[in-house]
Amino acid sequence: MKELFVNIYRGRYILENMVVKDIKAKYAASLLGPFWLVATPLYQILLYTFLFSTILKVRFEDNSGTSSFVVYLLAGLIPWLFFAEATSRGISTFIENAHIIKKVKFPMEVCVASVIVSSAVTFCIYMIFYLAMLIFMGLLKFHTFPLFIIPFVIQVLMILGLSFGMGSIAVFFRDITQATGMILNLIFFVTPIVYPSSAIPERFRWFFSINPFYSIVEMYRNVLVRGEAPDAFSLIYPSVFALVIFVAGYYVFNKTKEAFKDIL
Amino acid sequence: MKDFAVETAGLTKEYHIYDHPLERLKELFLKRARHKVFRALGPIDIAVRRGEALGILGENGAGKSTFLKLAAGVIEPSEGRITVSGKVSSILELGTGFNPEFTGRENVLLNAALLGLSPKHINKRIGMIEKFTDIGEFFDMPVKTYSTGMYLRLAFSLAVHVDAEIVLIDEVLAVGDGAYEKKCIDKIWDLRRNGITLLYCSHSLYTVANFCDRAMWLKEGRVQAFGDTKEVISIYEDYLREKERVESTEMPPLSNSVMRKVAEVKDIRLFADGQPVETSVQYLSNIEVILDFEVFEDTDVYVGFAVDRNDGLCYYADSMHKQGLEPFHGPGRERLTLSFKNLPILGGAYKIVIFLLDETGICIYDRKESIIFKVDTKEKEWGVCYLHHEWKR
Repeated sequence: MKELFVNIYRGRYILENMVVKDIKAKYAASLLGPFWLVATPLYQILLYTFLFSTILKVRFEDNSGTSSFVVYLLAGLIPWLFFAEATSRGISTFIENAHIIKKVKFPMEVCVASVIVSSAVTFCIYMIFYLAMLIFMGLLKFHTFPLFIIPFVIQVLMILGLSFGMGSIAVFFRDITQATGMILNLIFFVTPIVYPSSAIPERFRWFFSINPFYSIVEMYRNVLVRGEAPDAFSLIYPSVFALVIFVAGYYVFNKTKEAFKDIL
Repeated sequence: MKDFAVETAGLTKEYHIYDHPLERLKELFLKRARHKVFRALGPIDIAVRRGEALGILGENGAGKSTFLKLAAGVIEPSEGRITVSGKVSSILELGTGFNPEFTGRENVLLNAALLGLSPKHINKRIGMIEKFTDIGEFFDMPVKTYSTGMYLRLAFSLAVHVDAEIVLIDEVLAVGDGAYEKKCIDKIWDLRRNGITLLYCSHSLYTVANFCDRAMWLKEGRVQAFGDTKEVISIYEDYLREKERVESTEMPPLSNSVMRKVAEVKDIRLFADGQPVETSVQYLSNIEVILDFEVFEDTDVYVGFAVDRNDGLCYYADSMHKQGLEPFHGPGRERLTLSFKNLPILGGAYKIVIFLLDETGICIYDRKESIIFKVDTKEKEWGVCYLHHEWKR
């Protein structure tokens, strides 16, 4: 863990350079620029709201209508978009930076870090909009909302683990990157993001309770809109899960990184 | 500060060859070996002094690039170690880590960061780099639109403007145009005057000879020669010539095995400044060739000689006919002394070939070669032999 931070610090200028360029490429280089920043999630919000709220009549809490659906949807969707973007890009980060890995000696950890930082910037922008919306609607729970940093850190740990672990394996075995999109899509639908956890049939409950993303999404909702602090189980389980993934992933990375230059 | 900029001890790089990348992944976690070993380099034990320029010679695949990559720290040695003290910048295999999608400027910024320069520091340098690259508006266009020459210019200006103490250059100057090449060479001289250490890898022996204090010849990953540039180049050139030896166009001696032998060379001895020659002679020494031969028939025999380089190139040939000398008349044993005053041949490996000829010069009765000897030159002159010249202004 310490090694990771030391290496990222050593590569801080590279990190800065990569992140700045990445954000520029994302928003400044395209024709409509920041329009996409808003358009992409807006499209998803409208689509899911129409599909699940208007057509399928999904309701999160008993008293609610469409506006409440959007509030709950976003509490899960924003963290999910962050996770999905960072993970899918993190897994192919070594392949994408092949040109420098092969030619220059530098701490390769920054390849993963830059992807996470860049995705986190988008996350923060969405989060600010979302919080503003909650304040406007008078729904924000002021006493618990700063706790959203807890599920965020757990997510980062998980992304680090997956990026290092799967990303290293992907160097040898490119098919991993192809499979990532599909797996992420599956996780998206088995996690109560576009539907409430109360909609899950009793006989599948056990499955959802072992899904760490379930705990994470619920944690976001609890601290942001329900005003509940995370309880011990919903905190410990995903934390341990993320920590195991991180340790394993970083181990795989350290074990294989010397071979990257020969393979890439 | 250490005296040596680069030091190696038993430095070895082996590549493991796998049938499939997956095999390699399995091996990292499982015990069983799944590879064939290919040794690209080593073991190598050398030390490069601070401020020194080392030329690295060798054919393709000899391990030159591997050595530079190890020095740059891009790859790790399989065995042994390499200690590099100082900041390294490098131009490896046409270009540093350039991303073709980024503009020249963005690539410079990224690579400067990779070399550990702070953004503040590099902002001061970017103007100089842009000016030195001298590719106009292409500097702000994606690198994928560059010609090879522009790409090299960018790589070169980057490598020489990042305050490195050790600069590694792998065969690049040859691709630029003449004027730009001159600019690069001037820049390297500048850096050398400022005390940087240079590891320079090139097929151009001429540039190596001019830039480098010492040279290393690598062959199949091993050091074949290491030391004074001129000496190493001379040894390497001998090797190249030997390898590319052109089949001699000389006429073979007439087959005398069926006929009776008319004449035979018994012995050729070489003396340089009165001393018997063993393996080498000094540049511009006085050479004497003492020749013993026997004529068996009642006939005229003329003597001819040729000075050949080891690749078969004839430097000079002459015979008694041309000088209007009287032939030897047999039968009988004869001795002849052939002397060269201040033999003007520059470095290389040579032999003297003696011919016994008939009166036409076409029929060769016998042919014999002297030992191969080398000429030692430490002079700065370049070429194959000394040409008498004077300067006037």
